[in-house]
Amino acid sequence: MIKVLPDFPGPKALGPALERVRKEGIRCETPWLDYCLGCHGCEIACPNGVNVAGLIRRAKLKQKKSGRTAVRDTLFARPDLLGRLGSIAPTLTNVLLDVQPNRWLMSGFLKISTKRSFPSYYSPKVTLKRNGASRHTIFFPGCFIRHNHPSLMQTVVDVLQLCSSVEVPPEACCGIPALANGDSPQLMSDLRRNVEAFASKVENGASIVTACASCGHMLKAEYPRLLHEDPQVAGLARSISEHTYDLAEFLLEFGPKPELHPVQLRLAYHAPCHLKAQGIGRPWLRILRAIPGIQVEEMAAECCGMAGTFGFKQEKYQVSMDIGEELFGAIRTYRPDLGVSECGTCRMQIEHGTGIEALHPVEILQRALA
Amino acid sequence: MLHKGFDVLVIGEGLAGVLASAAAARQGARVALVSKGPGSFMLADDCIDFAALAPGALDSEDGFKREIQFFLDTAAAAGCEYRGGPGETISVPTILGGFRDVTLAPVYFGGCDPRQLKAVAVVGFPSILDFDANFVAERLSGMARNEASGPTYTAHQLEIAGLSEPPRLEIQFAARFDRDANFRAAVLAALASVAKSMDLLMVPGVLGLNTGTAELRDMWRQVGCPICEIATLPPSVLGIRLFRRFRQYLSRMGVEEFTGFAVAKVWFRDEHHCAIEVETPGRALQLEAAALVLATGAFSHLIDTSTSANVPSNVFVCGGALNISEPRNENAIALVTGIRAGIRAAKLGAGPCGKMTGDWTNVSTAPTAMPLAR
Amino acid sequence: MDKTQVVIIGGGATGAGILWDLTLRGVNAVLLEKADLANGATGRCHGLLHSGGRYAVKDPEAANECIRENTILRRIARPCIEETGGLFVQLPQDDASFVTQWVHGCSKAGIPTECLSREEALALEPNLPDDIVRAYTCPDAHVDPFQLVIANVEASVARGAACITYAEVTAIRRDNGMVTGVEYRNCLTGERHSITCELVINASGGWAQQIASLAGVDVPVRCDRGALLIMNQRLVNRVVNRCRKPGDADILVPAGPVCILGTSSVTVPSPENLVVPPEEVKALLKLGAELIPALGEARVLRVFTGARPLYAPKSTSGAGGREISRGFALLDHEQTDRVAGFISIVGGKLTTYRLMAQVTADLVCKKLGLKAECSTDRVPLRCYPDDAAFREALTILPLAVAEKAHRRMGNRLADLVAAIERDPGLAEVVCECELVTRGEIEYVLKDFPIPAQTVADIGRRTRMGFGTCQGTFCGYRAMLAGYRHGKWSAEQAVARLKAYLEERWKGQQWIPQGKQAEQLNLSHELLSVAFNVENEGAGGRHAA
Repeated sequence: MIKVLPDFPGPKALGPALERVRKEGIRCETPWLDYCLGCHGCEIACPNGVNVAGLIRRAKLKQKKSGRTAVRDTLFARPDLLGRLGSIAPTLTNVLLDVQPNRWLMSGFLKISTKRSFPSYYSPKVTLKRNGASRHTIFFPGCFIRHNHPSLMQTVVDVLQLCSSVEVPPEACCGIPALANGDSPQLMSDLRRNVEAFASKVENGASIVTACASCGHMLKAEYPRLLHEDPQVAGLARSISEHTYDLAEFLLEFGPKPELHPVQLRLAYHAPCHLKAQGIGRPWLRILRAIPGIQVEEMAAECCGMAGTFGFKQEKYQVSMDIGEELFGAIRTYRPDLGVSECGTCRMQIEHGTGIEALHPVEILQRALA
Repeated sequence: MLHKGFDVLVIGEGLAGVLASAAAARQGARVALVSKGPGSFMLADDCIDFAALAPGALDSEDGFKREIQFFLDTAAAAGCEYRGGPGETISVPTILGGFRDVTLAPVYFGGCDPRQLKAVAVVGFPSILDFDANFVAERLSGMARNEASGPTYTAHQLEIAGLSEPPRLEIQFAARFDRDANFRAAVLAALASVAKSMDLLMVPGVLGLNTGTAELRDMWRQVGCPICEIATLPPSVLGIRLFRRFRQYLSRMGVEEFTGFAVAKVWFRDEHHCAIEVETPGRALQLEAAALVLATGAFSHLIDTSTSANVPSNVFVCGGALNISEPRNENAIALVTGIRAGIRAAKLGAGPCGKMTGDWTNVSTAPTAMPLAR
Repeated sequence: MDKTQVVIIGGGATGAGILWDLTLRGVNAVLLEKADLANGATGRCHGLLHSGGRYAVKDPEAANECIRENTILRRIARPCIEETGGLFVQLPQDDASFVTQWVHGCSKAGIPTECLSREEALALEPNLPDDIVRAYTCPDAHVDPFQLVIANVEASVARGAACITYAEVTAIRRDNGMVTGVEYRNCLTGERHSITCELVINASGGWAQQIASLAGVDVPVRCDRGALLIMNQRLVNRVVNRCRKPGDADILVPAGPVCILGTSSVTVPSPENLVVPPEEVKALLKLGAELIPALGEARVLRVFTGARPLYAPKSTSGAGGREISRGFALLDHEQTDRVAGFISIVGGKLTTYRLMAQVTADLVCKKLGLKAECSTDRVPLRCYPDDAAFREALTILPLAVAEKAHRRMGNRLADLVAAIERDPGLAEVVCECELVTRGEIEYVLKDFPIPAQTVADIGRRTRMGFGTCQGTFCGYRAMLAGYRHGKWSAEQAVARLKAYLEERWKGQQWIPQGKQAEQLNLSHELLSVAFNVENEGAGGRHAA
């Protein structure tokens, strides 16, 4: 962020430095907290293990919002609600979202950038097969996959069913949009609902698998942190966190060892910030490299700039694109057939910035398994 | 639950860890590089001084020729060449307008000793307040007077035409330089105008975060004379450049990186079997390999390395963790011991697991079959 | 100026206070200080504005003096004081009867206290140990000693007084047993000057004997060194004292974003070249952790030390540091040594500086034949807040930065705002830890009544470099700022930076363990090695 916005104070200033000074009784409200993308890069970088992201997050949740952006941010904090509404009559929704007068209204009243196209909405439908597998998995798709990419949901289920029985829970946002938009009540509501839904299953040995790095990071890292003060749910949150796997992680550990057919593709891989923040390396790279015929390289770039709902915001659109330019340039230089990334909004950003289609790596795996 | 597939685990991503990973990978080992953060290598000026090594601190039959050559080869392969060699001295200008003598310096510092030249321009950008061309030129001129030799130093402040908001931070300047072709062209044109009748331009280290050797030489051609970039306060653009390039190189060599989280535990079973546990969110990450390289620096105490008896035979300690370095010779010690540790660790042989491809448990794909218990 | 009525030697709280008192009474005075203001004990103490509770049992007179001065200072030096309040905490292992005596002593001395139960105390200060018995409130506070001294001098200079820093007195001229003037040397340039005057006041604290001998008299001063630790975070919001007989490490004072733990007591031969052995630091931390357990794990940012100048006339030469009264002595050398025109004021503590200045100024006026009353207990030292300037500042600075600048600069904030409006680049924050802008740094170099002459001076005036990086980054920037303003040449600039860093490093070297060691190493990697600051001038390798 600091590379594109010189006045951005940076995570050290926004987090620990302000916290020190806040204790003195100095008032520290600043609009710059909004520019924290929540990528947790600061956490990874800090050699002393200071929970910088946590300090910024706390400051963000405490700071009040007002004005049109507050309305917009409230909407953005509830993608699950929007998704369910949008999927009632998806075709109509998609048309309405795209139509110029509506875009103009959204830009004027809600400050949503007109340069972005919304992902299409679909009615989520997924077919589950019964298999006698002893391992049980809860596939947590996240709002983006559920409402905007249900065919991907099916792909993941199909692959998972090779080694486990699968259920797909009916609802619930992991909470990261609420967190990112500073909506504390919505966040807590999301967290509690999921904890209630999953806690007993997880205690009985089920694993939670995510196909979106942001949901995965949220469940693994943030659930215990955000719920640690409530003794009733703290233990359950920890349990959920310990049983959460990224899809690639899960497949590498528990998956079958099937034959992989050749797939001739040149792929540009982008590791989402929230994958890096999980510290599990690049498991999808390992899987893709095992497929004969695949040429894949991780792009030398840091953040794609989208950061979930961040890039939709009118005042943040240009920043988002400036940050992503490094990735776009690297992709263009590499000249791939496709981009791959395990985060939905990263894929959107790659397509928006380069015009090249971006897939979830599991879609490539599926071709190799077919 | 164990991830499999590594022969060597390297903990620490400073100069020692990076070189250990490169050395092990060159020997054909599958390497996992685990680190909490980037270490201090990229924070300062990335130069390496062998003269600061006390004689006898590390033994070598050939004056560290092999290790230095390996380093130079690796840096070149990564795209960020270094100059210098065993027994050589390179004078690198500092931001305080002095010089620092080192053995190895990245090519960003220009092609020659400024003091052998006739005319040197010290160029600053007025919006970058942490580098003062007048200050540097004044000091260098003073030094030239005292030594009764040396070039004429002139100070220049370059305004880049057509900028609504000139960058104030080095890192911001560098990022824009990479991203914005017009900005880049304007900067190079401005530098070219100063370069006429100059033998060298000294600028703060701002000319791009992705600039490697090839891009650099290209820039010198465009500008019309060599450019010496001076390291600034951290986050040093020069350091970031090097670090990125080394990381990309390691990635191309197949080294897998697990960055951001501390190693909590280290386990050993026998001389070919060790494992570590990384404090990742959710579940701890466990990695297993045949050998372990500890490049954790002087301030982490993962294993008690005070007596060599405590250190198992498949653990190789290098760099700051050896506790024999002080700021001046840290980089040299990291270079030598890191490379040696990487080679030794790789020689220990394959890790306790199969190849990287198809690394999963054998489970039948028939829907009614039971998977093997883990 | 080469002629004045009174020359004051020593730029600590006492000297500065005397300058102000005399100025208010219409006496012409010049203050000479051989380093920067508050270089002696004043700038190396806890920064504790005593309520007097600490003397309630042993020395009720001193306690009463303290509470009276405390009340006055909170009125006239408000901008320099953080009204934290204080607690005296009874730990289960401490002598309960002492506590009873203490409560009684406070009441006798007029120190308002209130008893808090264990739960109440823990609610106010969660970092107290769980097993405290009870606690008592008292009006302790934190005073920034640099700001206090500066405020006194600033106010005096505004009314025509003069203050020269880096002026070392080399001779006190006498004529027939009467002091007629002083000679001094500019420590930075080497130039020599002289001033003719009627009276010389020796307010040089730990250097009192050295100055006195220039006048041919003896002022026996015992230097008693105390070590203080700056902890990286504000662990308490009130001054926390241990309610027992005064000993080591029994006070923790919150000071802005940090807190200060102290102290110890060791006799030393001179106020200069003080060293703190790491064992002492460890011992202080261990003792301190009994009072505030978090100290056991907290990061020590810096260790500093100063010498208390205790007046030690022959009769008490055997007693230890804490035994010699912390009271002060006013010596009229015309009476005691037949040297007219020379007065010494020795001993005392920061909290009673104004009173010390008052009695000194009373004597001065008597000698000069002036009938002028003291008014320092009434005239405020600085104006603060300045709401209009603050509102203006908010339009150009982030909230937290504006607040900090306001607190430090008071009504001088308007000048900073004007400067930033002329040059927006000055809004850049140069010291992240203390939120100091470039504009403020330039202000203290140029427009300040007692301008900064070295990088460390900038630090004392703005708190730049007082945070976690201990000047590693901001020191360089401050050096450049001085260069750009013609304060020093490029060569001198590097010498200044080197001196500054050596002083900053010294205080960190004494920390025996912990996170700061890594920071110090980084500082060396950057400045000693990469920037080669120690070999400025030579272009070469560090001699092994």
